Amino acid sequence: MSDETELNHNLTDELLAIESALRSTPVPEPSIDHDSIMYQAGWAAAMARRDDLDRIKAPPATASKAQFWPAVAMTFAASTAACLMFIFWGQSTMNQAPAMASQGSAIPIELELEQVSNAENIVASSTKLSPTQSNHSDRTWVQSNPFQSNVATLFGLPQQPINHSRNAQLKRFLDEVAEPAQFVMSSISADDDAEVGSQLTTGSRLPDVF
Amino acid sequence: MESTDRISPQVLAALLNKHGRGLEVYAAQWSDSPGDCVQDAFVKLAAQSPQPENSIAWLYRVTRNNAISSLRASKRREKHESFVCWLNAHENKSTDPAKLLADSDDRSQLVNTLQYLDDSERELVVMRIWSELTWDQIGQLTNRSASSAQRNYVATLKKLRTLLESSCLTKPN
Repeated sequence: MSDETELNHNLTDELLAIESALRSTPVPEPSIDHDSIMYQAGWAAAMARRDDLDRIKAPPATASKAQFWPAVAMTFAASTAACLMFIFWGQSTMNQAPAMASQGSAIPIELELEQVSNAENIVASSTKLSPTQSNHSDRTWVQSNPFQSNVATLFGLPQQPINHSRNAQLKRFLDEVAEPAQFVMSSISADDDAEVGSQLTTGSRLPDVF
Repeated sequence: MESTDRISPQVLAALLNKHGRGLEVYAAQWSDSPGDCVQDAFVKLAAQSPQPENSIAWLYRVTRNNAISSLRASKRREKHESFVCWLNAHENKSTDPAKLLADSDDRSQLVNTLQYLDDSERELVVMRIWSELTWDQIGQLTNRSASSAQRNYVATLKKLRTLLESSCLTKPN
């Protein structure tokens, strides 16, 4: 090589002797395994080629970028609409509150009384009392529920028909359960706790031992 | 298309046969396991697409980075002494015993002086003596011109001679 010749001109004999001594220094035998390296290199080349093919087969990134901003806009619009709906619902609820307040405190109390009476109907049915003994019907309570009507109006849902048969089903169920219960309680009357059981079924006061 | 972008197995095998030994000595300056550094560099070269313009310089650069990374991982501090010990420990024992006895003293003394060189000076000697790179390749690897690399090499040999003389003067008979 030309650079070798140029270098040798710059070296003195002493420096050439040092260089030759370094060259004659035994270099350690290589510990690398040629076959292992070529095997690993072949695997690496094959995997890199597969990655290149996957990259070619993959859809272009521009398509995903083109779909990104419309998706973001749709998400923003949907979230904004949801927020507005909740705000409108809150305002409508607040508008109804003064109207209720203008009628005095009788309406909330009446609602509570209706709920209590509804519970009384259930209790009455379990004790084989006629639900008609209650002053308020289920229809009155459901129609006077402001939350249910507001939600139905706000979301544009059709008014749910009042399920009159639901309470009837519940009454029938309680009747069916109450009768076996009475039989069970009556069978206990043969025991020492007969007095207590009879008092429970008849709804009388508990004995003094309790 | 990919087959022309990547290095062929024949070229890779030729590079391994010619420079594998020099790369291992080169990596031994920093790493305790130079063979692993060399293997990793060749595996990376096989997966490289497109293949580098100067594959030899690329191999040396990647091997150097791997070796320095392993040095940081092992936190070896006395890397100069370790390199000299690595050279001395792997001396060829199949030579003539008489010649070995005559030369081993001077040779080990010469090798021991390598630990007093700077990193760049010792790297230059290794690349020139054991890796047998040309001055252009050494210039590319050391980010300098070929003539500058030559001048530094001559200065390093002079420094070695000075170190040897001083060690001979201080050596007890």
